[in-house]
Amino acid sequence: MFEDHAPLLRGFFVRRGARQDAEDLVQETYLRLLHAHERKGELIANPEAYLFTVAQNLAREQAARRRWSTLSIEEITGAAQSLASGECVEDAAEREQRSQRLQTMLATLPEHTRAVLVMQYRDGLSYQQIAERMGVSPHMVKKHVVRGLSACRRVMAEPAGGR
Amino acid sequence: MAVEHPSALTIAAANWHALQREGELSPSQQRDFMQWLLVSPEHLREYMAISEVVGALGDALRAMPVDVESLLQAPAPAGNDHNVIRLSPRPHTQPAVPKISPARGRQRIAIAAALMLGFGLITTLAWPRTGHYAAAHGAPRQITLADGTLVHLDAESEISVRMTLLGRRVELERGQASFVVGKDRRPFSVHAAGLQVTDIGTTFDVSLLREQARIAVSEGRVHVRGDGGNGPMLANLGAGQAAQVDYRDQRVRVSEEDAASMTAWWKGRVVFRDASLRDVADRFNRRNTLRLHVSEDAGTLRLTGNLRVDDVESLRAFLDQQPTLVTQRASDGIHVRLRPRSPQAL
Repeated sequence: MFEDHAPLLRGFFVRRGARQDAEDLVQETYLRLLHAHERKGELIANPEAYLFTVAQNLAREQAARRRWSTLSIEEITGAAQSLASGECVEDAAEREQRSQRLQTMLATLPEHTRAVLVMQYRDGLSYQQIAERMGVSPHMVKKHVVRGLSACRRVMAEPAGGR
Repeated sequence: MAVEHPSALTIAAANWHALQREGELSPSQQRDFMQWLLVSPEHLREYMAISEVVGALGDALRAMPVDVESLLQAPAPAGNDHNVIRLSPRPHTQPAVPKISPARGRQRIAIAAALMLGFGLITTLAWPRTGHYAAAHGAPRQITLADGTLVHLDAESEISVRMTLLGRRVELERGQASFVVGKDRRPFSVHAAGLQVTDIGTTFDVSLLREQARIAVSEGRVHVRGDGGNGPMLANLGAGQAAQVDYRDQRVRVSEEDAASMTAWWKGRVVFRDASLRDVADRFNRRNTLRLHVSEDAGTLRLTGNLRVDDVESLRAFLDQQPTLVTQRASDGIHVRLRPRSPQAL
């Protein structure tokens, strides 16, 4: 389910120089969601999907604006192509660096928490499947997920390299 | 790598994320989730950040040679460790969110202040319906404004009120005030420390603390904006919610609170939850001649309690119960400081 939305959020909070952009995006997404909620209220059956759609649209607009304002014609053509392919621009080195930091963090987590994260986010197993394999309740699986994500969140919060 | 205790906001966001993966949410859960997202942009940002973590996590895990079987061979952790990672002493736990740079914030506040000053001068000249109300030391008061709004003004607090054809605007200049907003078509807003609190049919409270402005809603709903109303939306609060906005960087912390406790001070009680001792002392000092003097280091200690505002002796007993504090009576009041050689963890 989250796979559909995952590409959008990649790199938004880590790309160098993009902090202000990310802040604008959050603010604008928030306002649109608030307006939509006030207008449609209960009609938004799945807030998460709605949120990601709004954010994705805004991110596209923002990326387009940024490119058009600073790039040359050739660059714009190239950028338009990658935009059309739905790729989010992200510095590959930055991404690698973050992945390294995450791996370091993951190694410090308790084994069972790490195992849950692997089964969920690498192997795509459901909570039920993970619970059966480990012989615990799905609720316990969820606890591991929350614990693991919260710990990893700190890695994202740290400034990338020398900011 | 130092691991800090994740903030409550991070855990809440991770919880919502995990809940969505556990299975289909019920309509009422979806409603609760939407409400949670809309509490403030901080909540939404945190949720998006968690989603981004998830995206990056997949990549990182695929790049790691991990054998699930061998991980599961490890002894299961003790059952009751919940979602605590590792507790570090908490004096300054910073919520893990990107911050607006202080310089920028100050600049904004300065601009906003300049604009407000200019605007205030012009409109004050144009519209004569203004009023200024102050409550002296030890003398909180109630004021009914021309539109029927009831204001509870704490001791040592001041407000300016301006009613125009188009709007109702109150400036909280110092201290604390609660507003039971009268029915009127004109919008009602309270300005405090560069923040604008807009009422949507409400009873709410605004308080200028040492480092934050605090807005608490006991009925209805308010919107809080930065830069005197021209800045970003900082919080959207419903009944039973309170926001603390940092003066320095406008960072927002929203908490759920008992609506009744927010207005308890009208009846002479001081109810505080995870408040700094410095702010608690200010509230007592506004009302009593016997003053509380808090040392610099003790001032940041966070406390929770519920006391009568005129009962300084009970407050002193309460403070004496705190293992890290020591109080001392002197001619100029009660001095509170950290106990020497106090244990490291609070």
